Amino acid sequence: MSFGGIGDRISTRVTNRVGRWQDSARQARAGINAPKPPVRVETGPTAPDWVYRLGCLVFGVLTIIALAPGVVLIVILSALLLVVLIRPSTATAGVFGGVLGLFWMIDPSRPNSLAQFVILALVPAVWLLSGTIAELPLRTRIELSVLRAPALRFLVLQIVGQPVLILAELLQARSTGIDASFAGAVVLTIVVIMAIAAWLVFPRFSHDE
Amino acid sequence: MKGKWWPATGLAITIIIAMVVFLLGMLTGRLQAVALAMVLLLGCGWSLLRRPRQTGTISLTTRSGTTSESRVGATVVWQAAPGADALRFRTTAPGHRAVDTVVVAPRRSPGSGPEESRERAIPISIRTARTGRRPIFTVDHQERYGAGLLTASGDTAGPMSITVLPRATSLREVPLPYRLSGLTGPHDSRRAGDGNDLRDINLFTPGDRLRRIDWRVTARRNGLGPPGSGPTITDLYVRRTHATADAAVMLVLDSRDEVGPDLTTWNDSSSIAEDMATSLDNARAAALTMARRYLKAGDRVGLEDLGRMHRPVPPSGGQRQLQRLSMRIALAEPEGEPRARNRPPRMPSGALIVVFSTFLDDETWHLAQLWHGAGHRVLAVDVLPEPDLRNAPRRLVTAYRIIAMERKDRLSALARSGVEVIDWTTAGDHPVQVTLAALTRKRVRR
Repeated sequence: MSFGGIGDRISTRVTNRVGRWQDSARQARAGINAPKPPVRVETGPTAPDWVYRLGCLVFGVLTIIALAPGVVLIVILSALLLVVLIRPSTATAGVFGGVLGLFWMIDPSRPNSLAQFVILALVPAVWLLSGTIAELPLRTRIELSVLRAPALRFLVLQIVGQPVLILAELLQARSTGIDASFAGAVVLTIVVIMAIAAWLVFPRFSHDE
Repeated sequence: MKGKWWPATGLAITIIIAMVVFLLGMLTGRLQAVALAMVLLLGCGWSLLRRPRQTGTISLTTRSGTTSESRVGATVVWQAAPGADALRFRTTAPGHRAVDTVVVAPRRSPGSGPEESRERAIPISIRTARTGRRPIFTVDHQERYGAGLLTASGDTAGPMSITVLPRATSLREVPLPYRLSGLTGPHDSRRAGDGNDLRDINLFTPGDRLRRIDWRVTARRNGLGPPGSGPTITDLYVRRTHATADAAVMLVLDSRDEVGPDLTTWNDSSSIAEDMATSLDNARAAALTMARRYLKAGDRVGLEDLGRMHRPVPPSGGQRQLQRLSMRIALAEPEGEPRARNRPPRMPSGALIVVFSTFLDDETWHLAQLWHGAGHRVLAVDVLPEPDLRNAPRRLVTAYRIIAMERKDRLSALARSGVEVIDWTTAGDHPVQVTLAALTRKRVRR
């Protein structure tokens, strides 16, 4: 057994390994220098997925501003909003809206204030928008007209939700005590259920018209 | 259309959270939180109750008029399910980056019922320098509804095979075979016969047409007769012309291998970039260019595909032959390990043989020499693209240099033996048109 033979083998292995690294680096460089062109898809006006995520961010930040919570709550809500941005879906946005609803319960806005209107409008907006772009890569091209159906649903929810809340709060303001609160909530529930039933039964408001 | 929609996780999570907020709001009398929860519950209920009952279908169709251009296209036809909001699809094509797209469902026409499906066509295309029949587009798709609260099962359409015809360029002059054949055609043969160009003036013989009599020559050659009797005509002279003939051309396409400019793809033709024409793409374009030029001139053209052990397309003329050749040339492709030939393919007598090959092995070189030895005029068209050595590993470059030297020797030997060698990929001072025009003026002694 000669030590020279071992040395040769080691040097050969090292040379081969280095050669392979050089080859793979060369091929990687070639891939970077000549990126693949995309397939052309002819659609209507589109925007990339990240624009819609940006919309979620704007709506979420405005909601937090409208709620005007303390520092700890801002951190918690921002973290939840970050999760929505990273992985948009109705699940993550639902969690964001639920936690925000709990905090809103603890520290409610003034009745019939702008903050109340904004929060009740923007939380469903974040929820619907994040659901629309759920499970899509960042570079996905999304037709702007895809927003038509969620926008219609959003409008209907707002047309039902905002006046009902105003009415319920007016009703609650006329009375005092726990009974009044409970009566207001019951009225609110009944009205909303009736609104749902009316919407589902009434054919003129079919969701895709 | 019988696919299934099922609730997504987001629906369950939203309902649970909204219910918790709703109940707590009810207990504490916080109407704002209750309203927020109710709005979310209303959205969930709406999506769930008005969900689509079926899923749509996706099909891929080719777009006419795009298969011979540099851009190859197809159409994604979406038969949308009633109630579906949008379609998400990912289009993949070889050598291209996959693209994710979400498109809106088509609107219902005013007269259609609510359960009637709607159709939308979405054009897709890629830019390519490649030709032939290849699977190109694959579309993974999934319908969407209700802000992702309900999901449908996805599916895949394709891959769809598209035949991309090679593009023929125009040629002005092309060489002819040593010997023309046939009794009619666009070229003048050496035989005397019915043609246009004057061959000679000869005495009238049985079989000559009367309209060919040249009366001036006849009057000049026949002298005056006895005085007072006027001229006497004893011999008639006719103008003889060269007969016309056509050329028989056999295109020999070497489809046994397909290599691109990138050396690293020589062992795997499927990884060749789309914007680079391979040797077979060059061969197809060259063969179709030559075929079109000869057929337009009225000659007969046939095709022999060395990659297939099939009968050749016999020489024939006309537009229909051009269409037949176009399709055969486009469909020529390597089929596994090429089998060895025991004898060279038989060629029509006196035909011009044009061999389109990379000459990376001895087979076509040997065949070209055999045909040349049998008396055919043989053109060897080199279709190997200029190799790109920039990204090739050193050992691959070394291997290529050895192969290139052998190939150069082969082409030199062909040129020495009398086979005319043309480089189809040459650009600059000596493009193919110039080379072919020079060959038409070349005097060849047999």
